[in-house]
Amino acid sequence: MLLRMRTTAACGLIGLCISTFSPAASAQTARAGASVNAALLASDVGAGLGFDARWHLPGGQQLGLGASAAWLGTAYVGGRKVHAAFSGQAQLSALFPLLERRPLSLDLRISSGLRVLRDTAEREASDRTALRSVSELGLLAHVRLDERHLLRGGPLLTLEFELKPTFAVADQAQLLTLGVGRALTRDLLLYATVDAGGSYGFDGDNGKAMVRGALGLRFGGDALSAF
Amino acid sequence: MMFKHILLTNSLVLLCAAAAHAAPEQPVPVGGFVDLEWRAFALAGHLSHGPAFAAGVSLWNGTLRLGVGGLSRPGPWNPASFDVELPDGQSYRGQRTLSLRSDGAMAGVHAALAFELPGVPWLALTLPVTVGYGGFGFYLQGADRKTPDGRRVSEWEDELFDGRDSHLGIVIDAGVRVNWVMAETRWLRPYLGIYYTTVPGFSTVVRNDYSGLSVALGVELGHGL
Repeated sequence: MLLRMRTTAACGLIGLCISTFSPAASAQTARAGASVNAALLASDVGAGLGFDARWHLPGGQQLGLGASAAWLGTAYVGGRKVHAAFSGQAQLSALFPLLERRPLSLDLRISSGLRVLRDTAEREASDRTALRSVSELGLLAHVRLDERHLLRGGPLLTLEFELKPTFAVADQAQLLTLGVGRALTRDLLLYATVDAGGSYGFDGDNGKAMVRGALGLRFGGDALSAF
Repeated sequence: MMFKHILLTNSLVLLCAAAAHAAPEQPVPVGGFVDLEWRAFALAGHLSHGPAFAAGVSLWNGTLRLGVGGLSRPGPWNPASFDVELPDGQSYRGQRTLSLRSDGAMAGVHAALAFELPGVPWLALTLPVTVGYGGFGFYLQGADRKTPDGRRVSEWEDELFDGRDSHLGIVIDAGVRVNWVMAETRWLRPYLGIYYTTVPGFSTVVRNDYSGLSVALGVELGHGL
């Protein structure tokens, strides 16, 4: 049984490689190039700024490098609730078109990185800084509504491990994401997204729910490519 | 076991994704779908709400859908509380009876069958099933989350309820949905659904079942039906 599972998994991985890298898998009009993105970030616990740069491959795939900074009213360090914190994050991301039939494409988006959380409220606390590994997997539908508008929706599964001061699952969330983008020019996209859902971490000592949003501008590449 | 399920599902999704590239344009033998919905739950004898999703590959013009799915019932968004008397004469912050909140989630393998309703081309019927792993539980709320000795709340919950404040295991969610199929935008299908959710073997200090009906309002983005 296990062998069969492994064989199936291997076939699946081969499938991913084919779908990701075969020219036949490419988005129909994807333009190669690069884009830069800046966004205002807001959530139920704080606000911040995010930036990323992406390399758009001819097949519609995207590879990116991003960073964000946020000031939070509530955060969790070692499972302990803190009432003011700074969050800094850097991550790599990739987006793969899995299926595309106009006007809809189904894309797999993954990202992985590191986050530093610093308790800025209790200066006497012994463990004020946390280091987390942060990963996110999204299965996103992108729909070209017309020549200027793009709709995005899908589930996001996030997993954050605290590496320091404890080693624990800090946040394991399943979020629904909805977003809409408007092409201001051929290579400039204005977009807004909202994500919401439940979360579990630190044996139940985390925030238990999450709402976050972004308002951003992306310049470069095809304005209506997946975001 | 759960890992195997996830592996199998992912493999199917990816295989189908690869196969899709050889498929002709119309009809859609292999496509994709994303279901996003909000549920009103009547689980565990009370009303609550939360998000649910499913996403994956649709086969034979959307007749069969395979993928992953999940639901959650976030505690902070649901004010329902549950009184529980502490066992063995214990007390916590001077209380013998505590008022707890509840939360939970699951994720797993999703499959669905979909049909156009004969004579009603603008409606489709979908029969979705999700079998996954997850759990539901109960937790201290409000001022009770400030523990007397500064230890973490979960440590106190484990001690007060002898580890029976939550239950993790298999969760089964199945239902029926009616999708509105619009001729001009077949890729966008709003729907209404009714589901039954059950957690076999559920056992906690508060109650011994977390089953019940839920009603969903959602939208499907997808190929095919």
